[in-house]
Amino acid sequence: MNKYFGDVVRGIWKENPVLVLLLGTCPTLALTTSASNGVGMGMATTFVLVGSNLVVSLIAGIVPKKIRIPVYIVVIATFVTVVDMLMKAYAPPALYAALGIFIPLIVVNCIVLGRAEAFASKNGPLRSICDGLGMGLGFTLTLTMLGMLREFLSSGAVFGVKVITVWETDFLLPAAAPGAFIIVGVILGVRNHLRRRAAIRAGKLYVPPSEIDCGNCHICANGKDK
Amino acid sequence: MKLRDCENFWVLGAFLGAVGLLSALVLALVSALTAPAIARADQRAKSAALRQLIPDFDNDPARETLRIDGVTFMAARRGGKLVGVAAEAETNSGYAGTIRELVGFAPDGRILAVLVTDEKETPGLGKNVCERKFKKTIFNFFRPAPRGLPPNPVLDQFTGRRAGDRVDWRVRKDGGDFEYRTGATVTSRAVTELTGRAAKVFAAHRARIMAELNGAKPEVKR
Repeated sequence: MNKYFGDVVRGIWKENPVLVLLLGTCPTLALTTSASNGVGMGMATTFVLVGSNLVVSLIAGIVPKKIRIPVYIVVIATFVTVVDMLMKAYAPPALYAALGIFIPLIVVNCIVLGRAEAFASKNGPLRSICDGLGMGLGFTLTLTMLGMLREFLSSGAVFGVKVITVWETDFLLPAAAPGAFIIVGVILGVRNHLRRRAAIRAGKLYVPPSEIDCGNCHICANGKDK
Repeated sequence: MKLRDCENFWVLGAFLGAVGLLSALVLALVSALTAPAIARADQRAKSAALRQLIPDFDNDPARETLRIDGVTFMAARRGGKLVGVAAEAETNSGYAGTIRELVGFAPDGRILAVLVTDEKETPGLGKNVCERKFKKTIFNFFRPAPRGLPPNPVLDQFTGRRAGDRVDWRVRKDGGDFEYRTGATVTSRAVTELTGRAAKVFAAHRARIMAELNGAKPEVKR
């Protein structure tokens, strides 16, 4: 049981898809103009992640290695289209109006393919579902936080409810794409700082992920300024 | 030899083809199953939008339509009597993509209200011209939402206008009659032009629209 719980929790902080794996940046930057958008995109992605992880973990044993990526993409695209059609037909209009525009975009979200390839194809169905749930929750929480921040900075509102009513005009930068880049950059910086400080406190060197080329960068300097 | 380690070109192609075929079958099945429900949901959404424009009707306007010059007219009647005509029109002259509008006309050609049903304008600029939304703040959070159509300073200008009444369907910047929103001139221009087009088509073909939509045997299109 503990193992399954760990799979869920890991996606929320330690391997948060947006802030650590830096996957799915396109929907993250484009859609988090408001908090409710963030919740909508997160929920829709979570649903597809759980479903595609389940299907991929079931078929991974028979798919030839050479063509696994196209097969996974077909599975994900089929799943997304089915969900889209079912929602269009049976979901309450308000829910579809809120989530509907995000659903086709999930196909191009790297998180879904990334988890299918990195986790679901190597693990059993139950653990894959837990992983999908955790990654989805982490994605949802990050997107909601980002959406709240951007919405508050641009119009003084949280979830469409104006908290600051002094100004009528909106501040456009945080709501536009450049503002999204700036805010995500600040959040990533804060997160990296926290990780590095925690590593230094624990007496360990902060080792940056090996896939990042650190040859020319001296920002973390591997704990030199202790 | 196991299928998982197979590297034969033809086997791989056949496998991928089979997966594609399977997914196409699943999609065709789901599509066939949901098509009627999707059509019903679309109709309900359209009828809900029309209900905001034209006060009282008890028929299904989306089924009694007439298309003239790219504008679709729908008849709204109550107890068989025509109470209003809704026009659906779209333009590509917005700032981003297509803008689709529903314009409600009283039988005498006066505009009752304008509603933008589909747009992809910039949030904060063009969207403000198109959106009708009651403003929610922490001060009125627990008050129930007011009834009726939410106000929009640009779209509300059209209410009560009629194409026959010497209206210049342009924004003030171009010498017309309508205010526009600073920073969203292109969207304001597109919306004004689109409303004007719908009103002009309605005025020009009013006799025909009335005859066909109000006649004893309305043209029924599904």
